[in-house]
Amino acid sequence: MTEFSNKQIITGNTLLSGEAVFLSGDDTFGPDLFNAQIFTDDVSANHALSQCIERSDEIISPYLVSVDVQNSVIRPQELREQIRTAGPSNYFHGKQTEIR
Amino acid sequence: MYQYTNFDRQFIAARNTQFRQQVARRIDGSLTEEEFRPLRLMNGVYLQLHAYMLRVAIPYGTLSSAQMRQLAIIADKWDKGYGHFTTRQNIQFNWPRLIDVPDILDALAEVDLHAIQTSGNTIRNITSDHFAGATSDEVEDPRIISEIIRQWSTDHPEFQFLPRKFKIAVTGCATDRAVIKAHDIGLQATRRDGVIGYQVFVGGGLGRTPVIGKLLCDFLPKQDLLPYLESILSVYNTSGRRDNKYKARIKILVNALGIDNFRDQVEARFSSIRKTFASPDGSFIDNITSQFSPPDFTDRSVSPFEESYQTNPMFKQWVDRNTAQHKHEDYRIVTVSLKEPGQTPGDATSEQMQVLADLAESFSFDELRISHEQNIVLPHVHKADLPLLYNTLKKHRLATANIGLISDIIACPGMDYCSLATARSIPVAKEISTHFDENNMEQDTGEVKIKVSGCINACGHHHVAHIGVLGLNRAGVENYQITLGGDATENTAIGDRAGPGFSQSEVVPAIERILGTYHKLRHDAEESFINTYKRVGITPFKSALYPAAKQSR
Ligand code: HEM
Ligand code: SF4
Repeated sequence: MTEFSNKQIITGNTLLSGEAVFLSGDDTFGPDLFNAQIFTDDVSANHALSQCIERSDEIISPYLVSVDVQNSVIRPQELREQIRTAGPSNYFHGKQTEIR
Repeated sequence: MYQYTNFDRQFIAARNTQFRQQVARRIDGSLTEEEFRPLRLMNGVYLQLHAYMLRVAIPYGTLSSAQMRQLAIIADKWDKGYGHFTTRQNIQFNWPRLIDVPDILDALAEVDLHAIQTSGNTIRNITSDHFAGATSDEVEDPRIISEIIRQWSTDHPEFQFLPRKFKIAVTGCATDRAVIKAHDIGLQATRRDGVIGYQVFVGGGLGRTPVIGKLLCDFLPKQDLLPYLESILSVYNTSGRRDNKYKARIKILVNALGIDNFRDQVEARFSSIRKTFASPDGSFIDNITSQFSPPDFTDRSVSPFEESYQTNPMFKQWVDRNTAQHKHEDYRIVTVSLKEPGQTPGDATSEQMQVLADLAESFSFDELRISHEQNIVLPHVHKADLPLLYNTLKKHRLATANIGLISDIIACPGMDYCSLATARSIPVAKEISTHFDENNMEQDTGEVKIKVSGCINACGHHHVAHIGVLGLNRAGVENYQITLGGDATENTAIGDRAGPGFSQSEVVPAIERILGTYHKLRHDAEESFINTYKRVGITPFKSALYPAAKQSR
């Protein structure tokens, strides 16, 4: 069993391109999951989310995603989010083409 | 083919200019996302998991070569070199950037295509028989009234904010290749005393509450069609539920009122608006009709065909599987499979689109069709041209001889793209097609329709599949429910749920058990899967799917 985790990150899609992006520690949104800021409690996560919602000229429909972190590798718990962070499984398209 | 008028072109141009401005105002911050979202959806722009998605309507599934070429160019220039053809005769581009969409829409307008009303609670793209105008058993070409309905429903001021989306499908003959009874309104051409009219079905639909359309009117004269449709829509617009989007489709209203009561309301409305309704007059209908008049079929020797057919077994197999009888005996209707085993159902690369456009220009009077089964049809190919056509298709991996067979699977985008999905559909479809291709079971199994949806919205038509696969999420893990015995033809049936779902890796073995049962029980190779199922019922299939040992655990 995976151990209980309440680690969360914030994700959304950029307005201009629609690309899936993640909030990083320097308060910018970028395409790289490994830069994502990890929130360990609901209060700070929700606080940060409400600030992201204000940034709707940059980012659309931001939301929280539960993640597991092992050896500082971030992995979303849900398949949907795993696919968002990797790209579709039918073609080598999307983020997986950039991850090395 | 229907040619856009100046009115059509000006309307599209004005809409594109308006949307370009809306995008600019969104980007400069004058429009919020809440304000902009409905505007982009009205123009076919969705947000999916990885990117925006643009859905382009292909009215009644008909494309010219020039249109197909432009789709290929768009795929190369603004997407990743491919497009996804859907069950609703649309094409979806999965990777456009919002800032490019206004340019894409202008490129579409150059060839009289657009994305208007491909989303939102409006009347969506009118779908029709992909064999229209080519099949021998037609009362009339269903694209004539499809085009009339397209003109009436596009930008219809009263029907831009219906309780929910609204889908209309039309068939010109008794053989139903458009699944008309799974649509909000289904129309079927019929003849009575020498006069052509339409049978009207209402309240069909798939999704979370699958319902087969009910007969609303047995014979509607053609000139009454628009006021009658307007009456149906207006009863729905007034009385359809708006408080709960899961109960907002017309099927729920028809069920709540009962078909007779619903009909009374429609008739009452009809008798009041009919007099005032500016119905298209005879010359208008004649004009549209003439635009769908058959091409000039040529008389040529078919001997090149006969020779290849006798000598090339691969060619013969393809002809037998992928071509259908044409109303002209020297011609065939060619279905080009977009279902090469292991590929994504319904996807075509830009190169394939270009090739198909060229082939249509050379061999099919410049016409292509998109079928709801996610294949491409060349409707009028002279038999003498089939060998060359086949060889060209083969070079571009478009000659898979599998129409109607196991690997000719319908699949929605599922969780690889769609933000509403509960499971993936494409990998399941790929596994099924690869597996049964490799074990050579396909040809011997004959016709069986497998359809996969990635959630209960049923975009992959799983309810009307012989073997339907519905992807769900069970405690965070993909789980696939199987339905059996659905039927998408004129004998429309909703499949029966077989039992508990299967994990992804269990789907192929489960289908193998279903097909094994069919092989054991069929009278002979002539008895198709669906006929065997109808004869023996679900029980033997259930026992094969859920052996007793497992059930008693
Ligand atoms: C990501 C894009 C898509 C979204 C957001 C979407 C959304 C939906 C939703 C919400 C429904 C249920 C409607 C209802 O029951 O009221 C539905 C139904 C349907 N969609 Fe999609 N869909 C998408 C893609 C597709 C694709 C790719 C196809 C074709 C392959 C398709 C064809 C259909 C069909 C045939 C139905 C069922 C017919 C009916 O409306 O009853 N959709 N879709
Ligand atoms: S059935 Fe569900 S997963 Fe598939 S395209 Fe429709 S909404 Fe998306």
